[in-house]
Amino acid sequence: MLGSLLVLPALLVIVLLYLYPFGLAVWISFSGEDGFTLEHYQRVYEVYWEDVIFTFWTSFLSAVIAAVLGILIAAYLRLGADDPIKSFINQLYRIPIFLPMVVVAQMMRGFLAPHGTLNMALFNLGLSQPIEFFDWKGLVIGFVWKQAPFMALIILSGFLMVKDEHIEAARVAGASDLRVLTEILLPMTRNTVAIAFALAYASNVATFTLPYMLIGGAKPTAITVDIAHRVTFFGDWATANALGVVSFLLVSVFAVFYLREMVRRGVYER
Amino acid sequence: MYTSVRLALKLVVAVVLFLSIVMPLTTLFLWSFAIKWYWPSPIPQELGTDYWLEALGLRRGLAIGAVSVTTALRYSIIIALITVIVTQLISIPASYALARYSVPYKPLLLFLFFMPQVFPLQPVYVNLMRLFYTYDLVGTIPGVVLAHMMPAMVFAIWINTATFKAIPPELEEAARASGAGALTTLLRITLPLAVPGLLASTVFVFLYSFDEFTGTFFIGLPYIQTLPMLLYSASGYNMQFASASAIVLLIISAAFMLLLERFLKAEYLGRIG
Repeated sequence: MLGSLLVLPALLVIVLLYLYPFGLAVWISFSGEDGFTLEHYQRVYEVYWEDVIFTFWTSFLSAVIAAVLGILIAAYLRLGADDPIKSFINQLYRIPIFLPMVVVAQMMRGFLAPHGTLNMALFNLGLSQPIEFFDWKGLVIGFVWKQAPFMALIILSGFLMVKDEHIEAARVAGASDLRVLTEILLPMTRNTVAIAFALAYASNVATFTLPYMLIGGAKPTAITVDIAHRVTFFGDWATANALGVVSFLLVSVFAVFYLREMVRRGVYER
Repeated sequence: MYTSVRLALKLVVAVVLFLSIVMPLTTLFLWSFAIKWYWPSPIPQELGTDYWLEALGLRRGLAIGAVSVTTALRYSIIIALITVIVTQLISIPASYALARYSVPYKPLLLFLFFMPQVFPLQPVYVNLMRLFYTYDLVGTIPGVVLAHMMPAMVFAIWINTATFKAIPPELEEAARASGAGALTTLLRITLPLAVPGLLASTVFVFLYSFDEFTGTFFIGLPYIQTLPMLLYSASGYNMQFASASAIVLLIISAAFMLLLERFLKAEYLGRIG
């Protein structure tokens, strides 16, 4: 009884500020002049389908690249010999963690612009034409820059839980570092890696700042940008919400996996 | 031979990693001091502190009217502080209950409290904006605080519940057995032991609110210009001013993140900003 009473205010906040607007998004997306309609989804399909596909593959590709880089960094930090290079990398790779996404977006605007630092460097190295980065390339670079260190940090915490004895035993049996990674570390931390991937992918799909500041209204762009335009320029909540529901669907498989994993663990860790 | 190849390879990888992390950052710093920077010079032709003086409000700038970083910073700090207080007042009791009592429908509650962590928040903010219009909350500090509080509370609940779970119930039982009342036990035993964890969640909520973008964009603009909003508005047309405000935001965020990194799992850190 006392327990329910103490949880009640938090529950109210979630119901009023989250669940209600969440449900509203679904409701509005199916509501037309006279009841149930699919016309808003029709418009999403006609006008924004390219962006839906674009959001999916850029988010997924970025998460895959970030996962591979994260695994490599974590494996090196777990298996590599202790030397100055390792402690240097151990400090270095964490820097992007300290930057909020809006700062990363501003930074990438200067770095990836047609006349930005990267193109300047490439020009001085002999490339004749500047590369246009304010499209999927910039988006993927920004996501990976920000996500790979997180993946490395999460995966490393998993790798550190694998006991030294397992690794030593494999090494004594003649396994290379690569085999230790693929046959000991990764199989033993499969869930940690999967959770890190699900989080990175879901947060890429949900990110508004980076595509908004890098790509803006140019086509193709991310769903989040379309939602903002639909609302701020047209006051069109119906299409915006249909797009919103599509973005829920894009993360749903990963979200359900993550939620099940979390509720199953039922443990609370800091 | 073999070891020297290995060492060379390691050095190359370290240098590539160093460049890919540091080059974008250097660009940001260079831009904030650039007066003239024409293609294709690798560094600005003319450096100066003009835009920094404007950004810090030490000199009146032509850009962005009267808004300087200091005004935005004040908004950001006020909103973050209120968000912290409201969020903790609600999340600490809930966390204590989740850690100590049997609460009905617990799996369902856990599910609810996890949902905002994985599903995109932007569609929720879009509809909150519409709801808030009817209560005149759009463009106000209370509106922005509510927008920040909802996701921040979810994380605060997890961190605080973990904190209370880590305190052995035997300590509380012993205090009760030796005659202390429920309130005394809470104030003298439980809360003091929980202080480090509660501090961690407090810093987390502060930084979450301080770096928050999407909610403020829909609920706060154009009246509530927090630091991330100022940075965004300047980004389109004033590279130097935007870079300077980005650096201010970066320094404050990094300082708090350094604190948090010691106490919280990486999964939490990834949710800020």
